[in-house]
Amino acid sequence: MPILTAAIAADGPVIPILIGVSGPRAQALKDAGLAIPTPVLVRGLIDTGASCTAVDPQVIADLGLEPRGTISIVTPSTGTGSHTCNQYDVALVFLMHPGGVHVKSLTLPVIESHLDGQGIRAFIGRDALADGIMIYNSQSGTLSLAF
Amino acid sequence: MSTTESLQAELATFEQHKALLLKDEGKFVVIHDQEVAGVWGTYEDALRAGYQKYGLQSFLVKQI
Repeated sequence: MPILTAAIAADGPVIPILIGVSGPRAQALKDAGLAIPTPVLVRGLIDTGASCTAVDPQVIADLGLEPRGTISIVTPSTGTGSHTCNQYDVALVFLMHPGGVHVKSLTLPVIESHLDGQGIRAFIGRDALADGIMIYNSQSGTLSLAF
Repeated sequence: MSTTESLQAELATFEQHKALLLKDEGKFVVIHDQEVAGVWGTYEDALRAGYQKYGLQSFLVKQI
């Protein structure tokens, strides 16, 4: 079982993650004779408080994605109400380190959220961690994630 | 029709068929315009079916 180990940074458990178009979309692009956008390597913050994964709109734009659905979300800023977000299908690849061995690849819908100002470009939610085993060791300052 | 308008139309189609679709609660439906293409057990299977049938046209994948 490959294990990703990362230092817990000042801004939390941040790991490298590769975001690309989903496999089915890549095939549809290929069938249409179109180029498949290059996956984008980003810093992603693991957020177990988030039920779904979110990525920065610039990543969505770089990959040329179109909304494939919507979802209602509740956050501290939405109060007692909810907010409807577009969903985009992507492939997420967890890496041992930037440019390193693939630990896990998965296809899932993500929402867009302006994150770049926080120095990250993705929130990695529980949907992406669903099959994982994670150890957050604040004493050693390391995060380990295995699938 | 813009992507947003297409998505709104597909969400309206979902609402029209919701009562019937609820027998497959938890699964994933694919809708293009006013057509319900089918229901699949996983998001990835539904997505693949949607792209195979509609290519790069707009379609909705929604968990029921």
